[in-house]
Amino acid sequence: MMKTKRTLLMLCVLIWVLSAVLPISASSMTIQEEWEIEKNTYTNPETGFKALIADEVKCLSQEENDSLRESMKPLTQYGNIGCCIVEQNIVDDASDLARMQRNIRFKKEKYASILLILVPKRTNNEYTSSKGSVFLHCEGDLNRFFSQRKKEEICNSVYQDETKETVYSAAAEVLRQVNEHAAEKAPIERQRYFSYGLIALVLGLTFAITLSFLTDYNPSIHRSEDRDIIPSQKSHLEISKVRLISRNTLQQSKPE
Amino acid sequence: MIQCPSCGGGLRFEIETQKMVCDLCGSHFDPQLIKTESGDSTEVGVNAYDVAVHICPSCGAELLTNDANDAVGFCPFCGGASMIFSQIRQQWKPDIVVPFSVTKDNCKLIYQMEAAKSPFVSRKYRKPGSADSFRGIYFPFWIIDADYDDDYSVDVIFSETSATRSVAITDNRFVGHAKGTISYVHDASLHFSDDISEALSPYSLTNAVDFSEAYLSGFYTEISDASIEDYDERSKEVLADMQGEIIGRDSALIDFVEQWGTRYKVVETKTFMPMEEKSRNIRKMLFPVWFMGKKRGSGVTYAAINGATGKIAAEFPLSPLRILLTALGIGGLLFGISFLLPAVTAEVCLMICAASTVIGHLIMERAYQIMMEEKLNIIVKNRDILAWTGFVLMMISSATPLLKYSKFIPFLIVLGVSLFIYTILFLANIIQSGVGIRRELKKKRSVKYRPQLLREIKRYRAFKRIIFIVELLLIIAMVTLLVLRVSDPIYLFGLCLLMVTDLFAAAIAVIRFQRAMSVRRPPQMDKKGALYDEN
Repeated sequence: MMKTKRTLLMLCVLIWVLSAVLPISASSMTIQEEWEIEKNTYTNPETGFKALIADEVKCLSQEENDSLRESMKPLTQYGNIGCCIVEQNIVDDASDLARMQRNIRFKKEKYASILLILVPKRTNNEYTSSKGSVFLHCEGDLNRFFSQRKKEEICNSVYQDETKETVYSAAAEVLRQVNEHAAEKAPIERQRYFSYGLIALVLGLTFAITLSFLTDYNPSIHRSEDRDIIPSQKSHLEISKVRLISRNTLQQSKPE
Repeated sequence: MIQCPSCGGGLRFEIETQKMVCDLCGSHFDPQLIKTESGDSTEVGVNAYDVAVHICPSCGAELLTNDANDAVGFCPFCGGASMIFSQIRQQWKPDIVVPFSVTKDNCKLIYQMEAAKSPFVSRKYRKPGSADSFRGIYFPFWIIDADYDDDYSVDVIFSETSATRSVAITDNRFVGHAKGTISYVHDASLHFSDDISEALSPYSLTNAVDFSEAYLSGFYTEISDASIEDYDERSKEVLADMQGEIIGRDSALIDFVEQWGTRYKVVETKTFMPMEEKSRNIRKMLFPVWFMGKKRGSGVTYAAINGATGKIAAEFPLSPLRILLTALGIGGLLFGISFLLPAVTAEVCLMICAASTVIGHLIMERAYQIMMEEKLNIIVKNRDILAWTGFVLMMISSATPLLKYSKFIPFLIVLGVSLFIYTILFLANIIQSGVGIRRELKKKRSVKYRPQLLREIKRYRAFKRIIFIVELLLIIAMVTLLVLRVSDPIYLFGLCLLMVTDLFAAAIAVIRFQRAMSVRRPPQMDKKGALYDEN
């Protein structure tokens, strides 16, 4: 019995140590903070997808939080969406950070997209890195809507002037563009099967007609090498006294 | 019936051994030495022999055998159930006969191999039993030997080729004298369509022998009901063409040309002043053909195999079902590939549909031209510049959906007007070429025996005009939608569907035309009454 208790205690300590050391637990969020995020999460009643905002640097007011969440609601028809605001380290790779946030916030979900806003790290009220940046990580339907080029275009369109833009304005602008683009692309995706079906049908018919009529498969075409259009001929003409009475010349150059 | 000298049984000609064989005693005899009931075939002055005439009650066609007891069975010309013995008659003796060299088994194999070449022909043509109906028939032919002893002149183009340049030397007029004979062969049966008989040529006379009735045992003979006078005009045309060709290949001319150096070679010859015939000798011949007529609905399709060379001329209607299945198969494959591609907008879909339907229409127009050239030996004059201009215009207009967000509205309007003008010109071309085709057909003898051809061509051209106008209206509708900046996908996809339907209609028209060209009317429509009375 004592042995079992000791083993369990050691296991708990080990887990606690590991969780303190491993990156997966790099989040500095407390349980209180987790509860607050949970409180501010929106779940789409039709699709079941969630929209949440994880503000780790506490730079958003409640009104800004609510406003951003409203902007994210339309995106929940395509998949889970999260807006994560974290401090930027010099060596941090944005895509790795985005994936990490995705795993943290939407552990068991199949598809989840993350809008990652990197805020410059401040130490003693001094900026230690350059201006902030935005990164978009998409999965599921949203990934079909956005090409890599489009994602970069949207992300690069904000934070042009660090002094004028705030985290909220940057996030709001990105979400606006994402909503606009998704609204444009979603109907096209819905029409995908119909449009490709039509294209396949017309191209298939064109190819089939070409094969059946314009190739050797056409039974109406007699093989020219076998066909003697002029009726059978046999001749034994003897030619004699040939002479030339006129001659012209036409120059033709040989192609190189 | 030719009796076996040994046992009195019936003799038949055996293709494998080229001898007469008795099925009762197994004896073999030389066909040239066998005496027949009509008398010795070598007897001078005997120019007719007895034949049993079998008539088809459906079409009036006649087949001749040398045995009245032969059961002829179904009619090879109309597919009728049976032919009835009518009378014994005297039939002219031909001068020579070419015996069968191709056996029936080989004939069936040739037919099935030909049917298998096209995957779009119905499978029923490839079944083993599909070739059982072939009949060995001797068809009558005229051999016209034209003698010449006259001056000629011919224009020759020859070329000089070296490592650095190629020179074409034109307008060289040679005059010379030629003496000799040119022969050509033409069928003498009204039932044997000229297009089939030409397709089976050349008719090799290598194995020709003096006529003996013995060769006809076990086979049928077609009556000779076309007189040589029917071919007078045609023979003059053909002989004139052949003169230029033969003279151009003659070694005397080539030797003369080569005096300018061995680097010259004759490229083309054209007789400028054809020679006049000194005399003309006409011979009669029986030539072997394996012949089969299959009923297809209200018509009949023919297949014929040259009994001496094995060359085949067969009519296979395309199967719409197989073409449709192929289209669905290719479409299914393309649809599967589409999962790897990004989704396309309704405008892009419309563009691709419009471009594909334009290409499809051009392909089908070319298919029609090929059928006219191959089937009727008519060259459809192609207004290439007009066709290609229109093609470019239509392809450009197909891309206009992509200009949805552009400001080039005047450009789109100009494009629409250009398309309209092009359509008027293209329609005029269709009408003009239709008139030209009818004129060409009237010149050709074959139209006399296939009167339905003109009707089919007229019907197809009228349908084509309608389809093309619809296609143009659809393209104009597409341009209009774009000018009005209509972005509702319902209208765009609706237009796509209409274009696809238009393309389907055009495909059905051309497939139907091919089938109509491949199926002939049974011959009874061309005869006056069911029975043919020579007297």
